[in-house]
Amino acid sequence: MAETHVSAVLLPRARAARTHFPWGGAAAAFLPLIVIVLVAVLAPLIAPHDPEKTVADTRLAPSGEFWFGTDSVGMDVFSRVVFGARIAVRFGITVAVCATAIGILVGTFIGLSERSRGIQSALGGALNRVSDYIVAIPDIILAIVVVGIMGASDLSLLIAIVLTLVQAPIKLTRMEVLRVRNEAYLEAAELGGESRARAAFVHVIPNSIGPAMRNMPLIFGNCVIILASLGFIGVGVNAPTPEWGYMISSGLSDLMLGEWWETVFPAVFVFLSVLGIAYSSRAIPRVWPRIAAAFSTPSKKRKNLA
Amino acid sequence: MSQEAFTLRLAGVRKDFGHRRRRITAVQPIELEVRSDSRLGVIGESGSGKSTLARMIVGLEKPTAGTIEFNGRPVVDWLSSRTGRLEYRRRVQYVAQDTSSSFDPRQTLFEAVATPLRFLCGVTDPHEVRSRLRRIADELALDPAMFGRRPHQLSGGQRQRFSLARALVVEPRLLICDEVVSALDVSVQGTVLNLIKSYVSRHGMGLVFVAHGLPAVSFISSELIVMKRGAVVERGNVAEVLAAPSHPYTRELLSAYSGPDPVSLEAAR
Repeated sequence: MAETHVSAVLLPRARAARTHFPWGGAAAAFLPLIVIVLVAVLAPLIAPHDPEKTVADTRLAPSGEFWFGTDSVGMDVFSRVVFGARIAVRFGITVAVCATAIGILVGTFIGLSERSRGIQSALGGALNRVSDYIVAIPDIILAIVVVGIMGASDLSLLIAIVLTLVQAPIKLTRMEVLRVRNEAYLEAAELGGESRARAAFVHVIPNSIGPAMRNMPLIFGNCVIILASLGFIGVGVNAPTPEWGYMISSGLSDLMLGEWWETVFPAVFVFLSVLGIAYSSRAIPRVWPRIAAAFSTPSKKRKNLA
Repeated sequence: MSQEAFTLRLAGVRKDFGHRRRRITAVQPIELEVRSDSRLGVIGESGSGKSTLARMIVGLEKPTAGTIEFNGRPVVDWLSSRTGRLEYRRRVQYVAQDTSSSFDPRQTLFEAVATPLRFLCGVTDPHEVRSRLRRIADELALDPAMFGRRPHQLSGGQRQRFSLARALVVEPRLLICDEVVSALDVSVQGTVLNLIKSYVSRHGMGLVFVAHGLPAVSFISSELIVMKRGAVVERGNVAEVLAAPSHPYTRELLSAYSGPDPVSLEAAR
């Protein structure tokens, strides 16, 4: 009897605490993402050795000093794996931000140009078709072709991966724009004297970016895969730089000799990071409303005539 | 407050939708004149072309044929240049039926109502914006505290009054109401109708009131046109049309309405 009484008193409180403190759920959802980024940022503190220098004999098995062993030129695999996270994160974040930003702008343009007339419509239609064709080409092949044409450099890698992954935000944003453009508030904006460009940036884009934003972590994950794949076939980041895909492929010849550590550890980290990022990205839509609510609450009080 | 007179003239205005074979004429060629003191009611069933008519006047749809002139200048001409468009919008404003999507969900009502003020009247000074908003809130019996809210935090009737505020804050000469009360429940309808009627007569402005309900139209307007399948089947003074309907469709409309007599409804107000 006493117990039910207590729970009856506590339950509403617990519920109130949950709605007013959204960060618990958010933190759990973002944990894998946060861990990966932290490893990348703190790599010099975590890694015991220089990742680009020979520090011991070649092909040493994992031990107390070299946790993941050493590779064919005597570099510490653990340090290289940790520093590899840096490149993955650097590319992942850059690509996710660039692809999402470009995708939102292009997708909005395409969405708004449909059913309009003249040059804008022609340009929008052409962009939409090109985007359709690019979707039809497998990611890796497209990236290889672009890197092949432009030569291997960080910039060409970035362009290749962005071009591959920008299609999803384009399509996601276009779909939302096609919905938003029929909303009555766009007519109200026109009647209120707002220009089309202003309406696009003030009303259309903020109301259409949701899906593209939630897609960002997935782009991050895909970018890690593509980068590792390009490294694996030798068109990625240049040789001594610690990059997971390149490490996997360079250790492959030793795998048959039973020296598995140079290949397996980076492979496991590619797997874990992509899995973790995918987990984060799936959890974001669940916690997003609470985060959004936490951010939008203060503005309620801001503009008040009373 | 300017009491500038205007004339809105529609000559042979027609509107078709669709292409060649599947062409539907939404509005048959129509002649119409609206003056600064007109309070014109447009009534008809769904699909009779009354909303299309309203949207053509305000420039949201382009007529297939014919001309709409405002003060002797074609509306397409007004809308072709930026300054002309802003001037026309400042004089002619429009309120739509749909209250749920007529406000950007991300903006506060303050921003929504202040935007036309800023772009159409060039009022940017924060103090003046506030005083103009306070004034319109006063006239439409709105609680100024609600300006800080977002559209989804209001009821349909409140939102509709804010749509009115957004249209009226620029002090237009002509207000087009497209089914503004159709989505509201009856008690709220009365409030909104009263607000519109008193505001319009207080400011001596023109009104085109589109609705499918007879009581609302007869309460608020002095002239009436009845539309059916895109054509005007009857027009004239409200009292005369109601007393002696000449077209069978108007009679049908009158008999279909089973509530209290609209004329006595007006007297009761």
